[in-house]
Parts: sequence; structure tokens; C-alpha cells
Amino acid sequence: MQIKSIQAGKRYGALWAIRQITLTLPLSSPLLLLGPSGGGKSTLLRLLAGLEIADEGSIQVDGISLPPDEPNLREYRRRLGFVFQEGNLFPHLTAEENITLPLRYAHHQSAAEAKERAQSLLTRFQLLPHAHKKPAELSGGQKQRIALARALGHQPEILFLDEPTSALDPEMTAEVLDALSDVQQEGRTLILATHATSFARRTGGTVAFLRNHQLEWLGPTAEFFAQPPTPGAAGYLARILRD
Amino acid sequence: MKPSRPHPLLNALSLFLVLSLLGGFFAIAFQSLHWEWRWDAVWAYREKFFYGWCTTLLLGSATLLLSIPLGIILATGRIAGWLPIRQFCTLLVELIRGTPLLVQILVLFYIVGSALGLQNRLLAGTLILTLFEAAYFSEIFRGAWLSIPQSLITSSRAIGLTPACTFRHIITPLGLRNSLPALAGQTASLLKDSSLLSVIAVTEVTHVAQEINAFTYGTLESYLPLALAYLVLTAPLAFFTRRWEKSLAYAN
Repeated sequence: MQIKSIQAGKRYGALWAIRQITLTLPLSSPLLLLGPSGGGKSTLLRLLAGLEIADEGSIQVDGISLPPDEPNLREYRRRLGFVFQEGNLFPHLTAEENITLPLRYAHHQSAAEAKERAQSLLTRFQLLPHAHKKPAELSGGQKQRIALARALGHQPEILFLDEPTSALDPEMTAEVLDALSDVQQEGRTLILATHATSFARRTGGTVAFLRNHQLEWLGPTAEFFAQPPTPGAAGYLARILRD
Repeated sequence: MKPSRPHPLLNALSLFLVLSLLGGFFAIAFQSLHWEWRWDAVWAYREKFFYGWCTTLLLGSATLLLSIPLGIILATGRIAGWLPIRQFCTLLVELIRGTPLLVQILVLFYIVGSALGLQNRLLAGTLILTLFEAAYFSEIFRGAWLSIPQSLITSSRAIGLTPACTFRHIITPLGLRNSLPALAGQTASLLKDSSLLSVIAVTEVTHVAQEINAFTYGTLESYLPLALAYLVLTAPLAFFTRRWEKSLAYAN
């Protein structure tokens, strides 16, 4: 699956969250959405993942425009994985049940199949001892790794991550980023919005720099960090690297 | 915030103190009344009383079983429905919640019921009470539904669940847990509300107690057992709900 082209705008009320962004992929994975908060990263990510519908323009995936109706969008989303910033595990389910729920009810696997898949993912992320704990009993880093496992359960064609480490302390951030590096090494396409520049620098791929609801720059990650391509990018990097 | 659990001995001692204070107060109140207890006259009607209690139990159970689904339908209509449906459900709920049950029983039985030719008092009473309780249940369900964080609904869409699946696996269990205390309270209210059906001569336990009082002039001997008859139904309800709540608990 390839996202071929994006030419879209999205607004909330009178406010345009992103304005006429034009991107043409394929680009080398991962695609990193960088830029100041409120610049449109999350909105672009949600548009690409079929969680929001563009108010203008279109997004083409495998040569077909994303459908505007929920049932077809849902079919599209079932081919993807999504990890949010925080709070997206279901609090009434155990870690294992969080992973098996989509496998059973969105991907129609049997209970045994789903359980086996969940166990192998939990083992892979060193979470097996926590399989029967509820999210409230887990640390932030553990919760995000379970969210990652849940998003990977059905072997998604693209994995989307919306600032997956922004709510975590440095140690837990490292935990999650290590897991993510592992996922990236198996060759899965990643699209992530992040402020974790050291991770971004390491992974290579492509940077899309978004500022003021527009795409300001698009190019190889190495180039972006070697020489900030726009004054906006320079200002952004200076601010986040100061911390 | 939850109060901490006291030592069992302290708990028992404190309970004893509270009970004796309450008991003492009522004992003094009854003493000053100089009531001549005549239990033997009332005892003769025990079978009739038991029959009335069974009617209340049956009536209450039927109302509960019917009003919960109707409450879910009304709540759904108010949240998700098409504009006329939303207006209809809102108007119905507000009308029912804003007027006395007594008036609703009289109007619905003597006017609407007669127009429809509904003469069976027990059936009519059950249907009227169902409508009344459904309005209250619908508000509990609506509140529980709206209390579920949007992030979880988005999460559920992101993993590809259909709205029906989201409703079943996410909204229902989380909403039930949030609304359990309110649901238990409303169920206890429902049982007590059924006593008002005595005005259309449904032979539930309150109606029977009124009759026994009329036959024997034993007012306290009729109504004190009546209070007990309701308590026997509502107390276990509170007890089992608390246990159920604990079993569903997860920290937030």
C-alpha cells in the first residue's frame, strides 16, 4: 500500500487546521512530521489515517481517493495501525484483551488465534508478565508499548504514531523509542508526528516540516538536521534542542 | 474520595451505637403515642398481604425489564437521533420528569387507557410505570454515555471497530460501571414508585395495606410491615450492587 498523493485542507469551524497541503509519496520510510505544536501535524496524520475527512482536496491511496463515507473509511483504517499520544488503551480491559479486541472484532480472528498473536507481541516487547494487568496498573511506557502492540496485531500496512512519547518521562521515552526502532527495522512503513529529534535523526527517512497550518519543507531527514532549510525550521530546532 | 476502612471491632461498636440511638429515638416516640398494638387483627390478613407483596415484586420486575430497554432507546434517540426523533425523545423525557407520577397514572389510566380500551389494571399500571421509569433510566444512560472520554471512541474507530462493536465492547461496559450506583438507586425508587399505582386499585402491597387498615383500624400494624416489605426488596439490591460495583472496579 502506498499513499500516492495528498492535497488536502481541514478546518474546525472557521479555523483551518491545515491549508492546502500537497505531498506526493512514496517517500522513504519513516515519514516524520515535525514542527511546532498547533502547526497541523496531528490533523495531517488523522487525515492520512482516515480518522478525519478532508474539507477540500483529496488523499489518494493506491491510486484511489479516500472514501468520504465511514464504512469504507473503516475498511481502510483496518489496514493501518494507529498509536496516540496517550489515553488510548481501554481502561476496563487487560493488556492482553486490549490487543485481542481488534483482532477478534475488526479482523474476525478466533479467540485462540488472537490470544496467540497477543502473547507473541507481548513477549516481543517484554510485557508478558503484565498480560493480565489493567492499564491503571501499568507505567506510561508500558501502556504505550501495549498500544504499539495493539496497533501491530493485524500486521498493518502503515503504522501511524501521533507524538507517542510526548506524555512520557525520558526513561519511558527511551523504552518506547527502542520498541519503535525494532518495529522500523522489520521494514514496516511508519508515519509519525514527534518532537523526539534524536530518534528522528537516527531513523533517517523523510521529514515533512509543518508550520502555521502549511507544509513548509519536505526532504531527506539528514538534510533537515544538517542545515535547517527554512528560518521557521531553524527556530523550531533551536527551541526544542535547548531543552 | 473514599473513606478508609475502619477496624472491624470499631466498625461493630459504632454500628451498635448508631442503631441504639435510632432505635431509642423511635422507641421513645412510640411510647409517647400510647398506641394499643393489635397485631392479631392484622395477622388474619397475612396471606392477602403476602399476595400483594408478590404482586409488587412481579410488577416491579416487569417494569424493570421493560423500562431499561426503553430507557436505552430514549437515550439513543436523544444523543444520536434524527432531529424530530431527538425532539420527540427530549420532550417526552422532560414531560415525564417534570410532572408528578400520580397525575400521570390518573391521566394515562382514565383517559388514554379508556380510549384504548385497556381495562386490566395490573397491565396498565405496569405500562404507565415503565414509561415513567424509562424517562429516568434514559437520563442515567445518557449521562453515562456522555461521560466516556472521546479519546476512547477515537481509539475504537482507529482500530476499526464498527459503531455497534464500540457500543457493545467499549460504551456499555464503561458506561455500566459509571452508572451502576445511579441504576441501583433508580431501581429502588421504581419499587417504591409502584406504591402509587394503588390509586388505580392495582392490588400491590400498598393497596393491600390500605385495605387492611380500613378493615382493622390498625394503622401502624398495617403500615410498619409495609415499610418492612419494601425494605426486604431494596436492602439486598443495595448490598448486591455494591458487590457488583467492586467486581467491575478499575482505578482511573
